[in-house]
Amino acid sequence: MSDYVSPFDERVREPVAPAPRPGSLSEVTVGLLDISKPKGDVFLDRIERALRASHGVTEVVRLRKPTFARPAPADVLSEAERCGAVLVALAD
Amino acid sequence: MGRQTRGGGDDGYVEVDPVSALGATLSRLDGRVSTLADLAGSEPLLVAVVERDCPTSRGALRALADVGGRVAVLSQGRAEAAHDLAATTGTQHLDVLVEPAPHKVSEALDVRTVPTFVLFEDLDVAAHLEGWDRSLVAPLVVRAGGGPIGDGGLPELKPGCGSRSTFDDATLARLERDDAALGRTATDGSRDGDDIDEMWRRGWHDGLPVVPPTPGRVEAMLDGRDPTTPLGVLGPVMAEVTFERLAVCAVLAGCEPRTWPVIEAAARAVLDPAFNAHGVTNTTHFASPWLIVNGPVRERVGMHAGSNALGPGNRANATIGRAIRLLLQLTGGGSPGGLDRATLGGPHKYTACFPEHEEASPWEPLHVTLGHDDATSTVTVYGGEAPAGVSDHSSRTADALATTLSLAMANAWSPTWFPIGTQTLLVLCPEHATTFGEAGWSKQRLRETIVERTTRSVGRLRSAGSGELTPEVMDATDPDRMIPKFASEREVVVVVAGADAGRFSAVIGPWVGFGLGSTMVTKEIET
Repeated sequence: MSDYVSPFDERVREPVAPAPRPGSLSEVTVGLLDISKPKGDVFLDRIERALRASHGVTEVVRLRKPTFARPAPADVLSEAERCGAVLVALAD
Repeated sequence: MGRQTRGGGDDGYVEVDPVSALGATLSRLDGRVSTLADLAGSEPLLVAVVERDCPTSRGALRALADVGGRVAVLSQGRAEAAHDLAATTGTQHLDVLVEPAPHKVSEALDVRTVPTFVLFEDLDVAAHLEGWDRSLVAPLVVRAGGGPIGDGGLPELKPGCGSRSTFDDATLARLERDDAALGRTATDGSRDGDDIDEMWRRGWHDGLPVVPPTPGRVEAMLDGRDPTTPLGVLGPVMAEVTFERLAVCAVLAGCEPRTWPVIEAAARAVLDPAFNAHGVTNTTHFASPWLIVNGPVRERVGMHAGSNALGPGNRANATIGRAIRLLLQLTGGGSPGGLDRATLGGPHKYTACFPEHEEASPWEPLHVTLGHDDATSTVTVYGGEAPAGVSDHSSRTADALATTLSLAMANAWSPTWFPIGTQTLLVLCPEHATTFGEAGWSKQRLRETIVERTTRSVGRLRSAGSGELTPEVMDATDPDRMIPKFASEREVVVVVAGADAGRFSAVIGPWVGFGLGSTMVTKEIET
């Protein structure tokens, strides 16, 4: 077999390990990320009520991407990094 | 030695002619030719006469694959069948000889069924065995210098199949057509050193065959340019795009090296943050980069702006667009069904690249409208969907034709989605463009007219019955409020392309608007 030149940037193909999972949502700040698809805020309002009522969540941070069509900007990502868990509301 | 009877000769009805069999010139899998006599030399030789479609033959070859000694295979049928048989039974390393019709060698060896095993000793037939009988084949292998035979998935005894040498001409012709089809469908080029199947295995393709990016081809594409030259970072995997990686995609796509300046400029355009390649690639929408090429470079690299300008047939158009698609898919990581989440996608996602037919246009070309010099060449990238055709063969005035085109433009994205908030591409065919030109309409006038005639009242949009309404329409308090589809003529992008004949234009709808999605980007081409 011949050698072939790769189209890939091999550095970015290294697998990334998932972040450690919290033992309980009540122990951490929970981020709720609205990617700004229509009604994402309505959906997350309901999720927040359910988390507080049924899962002992006390600390919630609401996050929002300016547009669903682009990656999250650095300030949104750094806020998300301070949370112990983040839920993302995708699609419409 | 000469014609003789076999098996003692008393029954007399079977004659073999080992002299003609041993001396016949046959092709081998590697393309060289050989005779059975060459293979035998002064040693015993066991010849297995087989046929690709015969299960007993296939099992026998698997059983003989690793016995060593002097075992040759005579494969009835065309070379394609012999290649396939050897590849699927693990016998490529044996001496496999190809015997196409009319099977004179099989006849000379009196082969009635396959497999038939013929042992030659002292250049004469020492044994002749039809079908599969493990206990009788094993000692023949030993006499030919081989070791224990394998299982081959066969029982101790299994009858053979009819030999092609006993078939009529019509049957042989049909079988050889089937053989040839094996060759046509096989893309494995490993035997000639250019393995397209390896590209399928690696996933370096878009569903169609690609050109394997050998170092020599990539070097030819770069033509002395520095392969490490960086072009930018491409999502979703945030890969660094270099000249080398772009050249690999260009080779895979089948590009000619002379098209490189267009490919490089197109890559710079899709990597411009305003284009937002990340979003265009990942979206559930139909969007994909459309490349519109203007200026003298069109002719220099062999592009085609006439009949089928948006369709198949021209290598430069097809491969430049495909190279950019492969860059997004492979280097950028936007693999279909992976991080490319398109609901339906579309044929334009294989390739979408065409030059404006500037010579057939009554107006200045796109790049001049956008402020570039007439003598420069540019590529404009636009994140759009598949073309939606607009037929108008009946309008006799520019005014009436503008109305037809406006109705089509009003449907972009979704028929009740007003305003659209971004540019939308209208590809005018030369006959439609000429109607405007002869009536003295400027491109600007057409664009402004489309803005006027795609403006709707809130009441009309609501009464259509669709729930697909923008917040502007849903929240408006005055039903008579007018909502323009396009904020200004700058959102109506007009280019001319296509054949001289036919009154078919096309609207190519955009992706997400309001500056949130993708914006058209134009780059000058360094030539």
